[in-house]
Amino acid sequence: MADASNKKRGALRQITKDDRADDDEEDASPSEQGTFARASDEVLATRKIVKVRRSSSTAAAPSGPNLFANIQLVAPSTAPPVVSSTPAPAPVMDSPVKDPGENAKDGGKNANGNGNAKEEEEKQAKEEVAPNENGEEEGGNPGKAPVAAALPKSFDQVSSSANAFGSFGTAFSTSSFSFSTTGSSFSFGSSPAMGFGFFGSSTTTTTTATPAEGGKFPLFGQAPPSSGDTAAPPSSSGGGGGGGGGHPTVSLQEVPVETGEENEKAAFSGDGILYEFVDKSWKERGKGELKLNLSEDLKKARLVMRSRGNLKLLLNASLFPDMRMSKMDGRSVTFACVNSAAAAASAAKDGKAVLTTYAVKLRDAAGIPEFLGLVEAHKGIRPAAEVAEAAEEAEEVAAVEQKADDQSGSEDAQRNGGEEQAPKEEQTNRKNKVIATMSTMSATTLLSLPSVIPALVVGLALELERDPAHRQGGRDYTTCELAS
Amino acid sequence: MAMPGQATPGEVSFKLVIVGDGGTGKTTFVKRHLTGEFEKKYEPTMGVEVHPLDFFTNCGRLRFYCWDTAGQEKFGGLRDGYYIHGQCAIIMFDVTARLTYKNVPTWHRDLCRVCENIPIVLCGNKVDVKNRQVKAKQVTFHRKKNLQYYEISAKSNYNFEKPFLYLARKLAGDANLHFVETPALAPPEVHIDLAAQQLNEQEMNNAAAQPLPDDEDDAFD
Repeated sequence: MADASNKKRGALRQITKDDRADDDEEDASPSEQGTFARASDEVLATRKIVKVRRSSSTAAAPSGPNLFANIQLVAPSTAPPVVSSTPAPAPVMDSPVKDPGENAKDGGKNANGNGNAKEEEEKQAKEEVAPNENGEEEGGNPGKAPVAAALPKSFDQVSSSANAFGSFGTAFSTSSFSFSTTGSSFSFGSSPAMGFGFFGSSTTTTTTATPAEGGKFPLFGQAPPSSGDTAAPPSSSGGGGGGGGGHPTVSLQEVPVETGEENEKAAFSGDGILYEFVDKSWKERGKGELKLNLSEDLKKARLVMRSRGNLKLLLNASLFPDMRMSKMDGRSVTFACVNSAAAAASAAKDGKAVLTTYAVKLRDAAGIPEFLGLVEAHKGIRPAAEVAEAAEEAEEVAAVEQKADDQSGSEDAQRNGGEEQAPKEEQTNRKNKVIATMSTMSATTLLSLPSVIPALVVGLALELERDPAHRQGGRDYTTCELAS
Repeated sequence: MAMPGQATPGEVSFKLVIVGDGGTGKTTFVKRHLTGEFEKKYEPTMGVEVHPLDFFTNCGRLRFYCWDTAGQEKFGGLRDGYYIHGQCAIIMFDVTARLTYKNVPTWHRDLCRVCENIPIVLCGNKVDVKNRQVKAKQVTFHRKKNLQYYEISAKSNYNFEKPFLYLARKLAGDANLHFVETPALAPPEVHIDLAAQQLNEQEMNNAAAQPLPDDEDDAFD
């Protein structure tokens, strides 16, 4: 046991509080019965399904006024035509209560009598199979109301109190077994207090329809309390409430989608994994697409990364002038930033922006030089005095870029074997693109200081010539020599 | 009587109960969604941990209050006492441990005793593992109970958003509901003072010295 807490638990024994035999029994019993086979869904849809509850005190039932204590009525939601033809279908009773004469009458009044009897048998069989599993079984049975489990109890309650059921109860016990005479007053579905329709028929006066299996029934799910208040006793564990598995719990309106990036374009995008440096170790923050977004006026740049799948925001950080981004081993870069996405997630520690160290491992190592270059280029608009530095930095970038290119080139070469030539061309193309972007970016600021331009141009020229000396520049761009 | 999730207008939230044997990856799965990290270390959950998980959909933001329950019986706490008013559920098992699948009916039964007729997703976790003990074909429980089944991997993120998507669709009654990008509002202008930067410089150097965690195959998908 001592090692159980620090090691993954072996799959020896897990749930012990419940006897496994229960489940076996549950699974096995249908086959033991041998007589009950579930009809196909199409057949079930045409049937009237009535549920009968076995009563424990059947002897008292017929004499007492609360005659329906043993009787369970379940509405066939899929048989509206039958219901509409007979205003008040006969409740099907438990076998001890029923006598042949009544049954005959029943059959005479209700064309569906035989069908009911058959259903009843089926239900009984089912009940024997799973006496305590009503709720569970109902989920899969078309045409059965989810409120059925709560029904008998509520019927007890209701029939003993003064309402439509009470009057019906007396009528039943005193007069002949005539449903048609009481049909008008005895209208299960029309009683709004019940909160659910017994018949599920839209042709009767039912105000709250019985949920049809698989059908749309938003009202039911939305207003569980209405059924819960009157019908379901607290002990019935919300037989009618809670919104069904098949029924929506809320109804939502479609809203316009805003990404927050409408006025931006992505200068760079690539798949990657984001890590955050926390407590002296790297913690993964998610996988997804990393983007370097530029605002339309090119004044602002930020990094945005969203998780694949759930599209959650992982990274949302502005570039800033002093931002350092450096290449790590393999295909990763590391940088510090203020991540708004994380601050929002962790409720902003002290409400202060904190620099956090992140790293991104890119799927495609070849994208790293481009990414680094673009970040350097768009770090921020600087004061004119710093432009000279900017030029130096541009050279640094070039150096890093070249170094990175060499690395990635060799990596590519290893990976691709014979395709050495292609990546090099690709590199040059990419580099030219980067340089183009950089020069356009800084053009506005540089124009005011013409003296700096040559320096930059020299840098670029060196870069374009792929000066060997330059290539030997230090491994870390911060220490690399400047070609000037 | 206000149901949870319908109380305050503007916020749509649901109570999601996550059950399953110990060590199947319930907590790891939730953490993966919560912080993005993949926790390798096994620390059994005591009782329950509740985490809010937000998703942005074409129908606005949805919030799942994930009740990440203890799988190990000895740490079970209130057990099915946590299930009350659950509006949806995930039953998790581990495809590399057959017994965790065998126990699924028990979890399902306990759940359904308390929460009748809620949408439930069955999740077979750890499908990234090479030799699994429960093959996809052998998973049949969901069919007779009308559940949705997903094979997931909290490690590789395979299908990791699907259970939430399914539940969201069921709860909203909208089969076309889908996740959309979390809005990325423009981050505030940052002004980093020198001290902070120097502090960070130190950290960056430490960080750069430490290699990134290497997932063997770097599961990018």
